[in-house]
Amino acid sequence: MAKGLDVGTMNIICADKGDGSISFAQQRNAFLEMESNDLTKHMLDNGKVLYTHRGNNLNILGEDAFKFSNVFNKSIRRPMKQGIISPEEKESISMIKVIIERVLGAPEKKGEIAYISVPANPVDNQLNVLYHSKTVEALAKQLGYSTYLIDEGLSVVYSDLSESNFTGVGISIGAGMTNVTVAYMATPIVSFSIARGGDWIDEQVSIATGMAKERITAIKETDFAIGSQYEIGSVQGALAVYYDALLTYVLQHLKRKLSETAPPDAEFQVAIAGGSTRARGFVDMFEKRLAQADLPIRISSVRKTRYISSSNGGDSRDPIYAIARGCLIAALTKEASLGSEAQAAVSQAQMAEPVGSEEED
Amino acid sequence: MDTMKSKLNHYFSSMTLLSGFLLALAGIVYALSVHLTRRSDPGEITITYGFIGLGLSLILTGINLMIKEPKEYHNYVIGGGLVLNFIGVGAFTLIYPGGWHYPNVTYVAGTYVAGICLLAGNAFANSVLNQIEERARQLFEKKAENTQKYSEEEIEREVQRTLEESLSERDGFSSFNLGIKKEDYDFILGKALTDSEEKKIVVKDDISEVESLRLARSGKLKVSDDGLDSASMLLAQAINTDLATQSSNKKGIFRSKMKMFKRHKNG
Repeated sequence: MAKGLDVGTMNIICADKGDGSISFAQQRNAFLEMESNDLTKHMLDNGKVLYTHRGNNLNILGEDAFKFSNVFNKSIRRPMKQGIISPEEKESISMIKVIIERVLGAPEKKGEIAYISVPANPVDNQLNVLYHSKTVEALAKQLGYSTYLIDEGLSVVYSDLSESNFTGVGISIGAGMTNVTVAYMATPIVSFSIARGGDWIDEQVSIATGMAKERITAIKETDFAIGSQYEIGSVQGALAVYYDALLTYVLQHLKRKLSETAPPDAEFQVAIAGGSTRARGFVDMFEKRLAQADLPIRISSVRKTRYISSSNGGDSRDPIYAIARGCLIAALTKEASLGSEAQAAVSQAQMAEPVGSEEED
Repeated sequence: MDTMKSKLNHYFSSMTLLSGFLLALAGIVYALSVHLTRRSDPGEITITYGFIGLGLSLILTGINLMIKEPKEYHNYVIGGGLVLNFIGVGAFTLIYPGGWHYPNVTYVAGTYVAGICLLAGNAFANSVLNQIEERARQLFEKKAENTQKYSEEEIEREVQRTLEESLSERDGFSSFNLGIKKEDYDFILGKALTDSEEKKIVVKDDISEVESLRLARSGKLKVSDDGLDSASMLLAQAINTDLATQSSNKKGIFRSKMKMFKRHKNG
C-alpha cells in the first residue's frame, strides 16, 4: 500500500492507509548527544528509548531527545534547518536516515509508492532545495520504495481542498519554512517557499526579550493565543508581533508572485496547515491580514485543516498531519492510476490475442 | 466642454500676449516719433514708459497663461505679478515728475521689478518642470514600447506549456537520481530501534479525496462551472502521454478551448 512522508524541520511523519483509516507514525526530527556507559544504555533499553551509540557517545532520537534535554539541561541538535538538511550538522543525514527508516518502515512489496514532501525553492533566500530533495528521496528509495516528490504546499491542497476541486491556496507554516502553493484544478500555478517559520518567530522573540529560545518555544506551545491582550514587554506580546510580521511577509510575497502570473478567474479557498498554525486565534489573524493584502485573486474562505487527531481526545484539530495526508492522497492516486494503466494494458493484450490466432488460422 | 475651455484659454492668452506686444510697440513708436530724450516733456515720458511698462507686463502674463499643465498656485502668482506691475506703472504715472525722487523711486521701481520677477520666474519654473516631466514621460513611453506584448493565443500557449511541465512525472525536479551506497551504519542502533515497532496514531478516514484527485487529473471531474470543466479537460490532455489518444482528441480540445474563450469574452 502506498505511503506519504512529510520530512519537516521539526517532525518526520509517515501516513499509511489502513482499513477505513489512516495511521500516522511520527518522530521529532531531533537528537541529543550524551555520554554513553553500560548503565545508561541499560536504562535506555528498559525505557524503550530510541538511541544510537558509537564508542562513548550516544545519540537519543526523536521525542525522547526533547524530554532528556529538559532533564539534563542540554541543547538538542537538529538535522534540518530552514526546511532543508542542515549543512552545519555533520550527523544530519545519518540521523534523518534512522528516523525515516523508523517511521516509514520497509515496503510491503518492492516498488511500493511513496510520495515525499519537499519545500519549493525559497524566494527570500539563496537556499536551493534540490540537494535536500534528492537526498531524502534517495534515503526512501534505498528502503525499496518507488519515490515521488511533491511540493509541501500542494500536499496541503490535496489534503484540504477537495471540496473546491483542488482549486485554492495551500499554505504550510512549519518550523523551518513556510510553503505556499496556488493550485487550479490540482495543478500548481504558483509555488514558492519562504525561509521563515516557527523557528524564526522563536529566534526573533528570543532576541527581543532576551529569553532562551527553548523557553520561548515552550511558552508559544502552551501559553499563547493570538488576539489575547498581553502586557507590553511580555513574551506573548512579542510572539503576537512576530506572528503578525510573518503572516504579512508571507502574504506580501504571495501577492508579488501572483502579480507575475495570470491566475484564472476562479474562487480560491485558502487552506493553512503546519505546526506553527497551531496557535489559538491564528485563523482570525490570517483572515484579517488576507483581507488587507488585496490579492489579485478572489478568496472564498480560509480554513485550517479539518483533520482530527484522536491522540488529543478525539476532538482537537491538528494541522501538522495535513502534509503527510496530502502526500498519502497523491501516492494512492498514483497507485490507482498505475493500476488502471496496467489493467488497460492487460485487456489490450487479451484483445490482441484472438486477432493473432485468427490470422494464424 | 474641456476642449471649449482649452480653446478659450488659448485665445485669451494669445490676445493678452498680442496686446502686450502692441502696447510695448506703441510705446517705442511713440518715443521715436517724439524724439524722446531726458529733457522731453514729462507727459511724453509718462506715456512712453507707461505703455512699455504695461506692454511688458502683458507679454509676460500672456506667456504665463500659455503654459500647459501649470503647477499649483500658478494663477495666484500671475495675478500677484500683474497687480504689482499695475501698481508700479500706476504709481509712476501719478507721481512723475513731481514726486519722482528718493525714496518714491525705490518703492515704485521695486514694486514693478517684483511683479516682473514673479511673472518671469513663474514662466521659467513651469517651463523647466514641464520639460523634466516630458523627458520622464518619453523615457517611460520608450520603455513601454520596448515591452513585448503577447497575444491571447501566446498567453494560452504559455499556460498550456506550464501545465504540461507541472504535471510531468518529474514535477519540475531534476531527473537525476542520487544513488546512495548501501553500507552499514558506523554506529550501533539501540535495542528499541531494532526490536520495537513505531507507535502509530490511527484515525478514521476514508480518504475520499483520492477518487476526486484521480478524476481531476484525468479531466473527468464533474463540476457546475463550464470554465472548470474545460480546464479539467485541458489538464487531462496535458498529462496524457499517449500520442494516439491526444491526436484523436485534438478536436475535443479545440472545442473546449473555444468554449472557454467564448465564455471569457462574454464575461
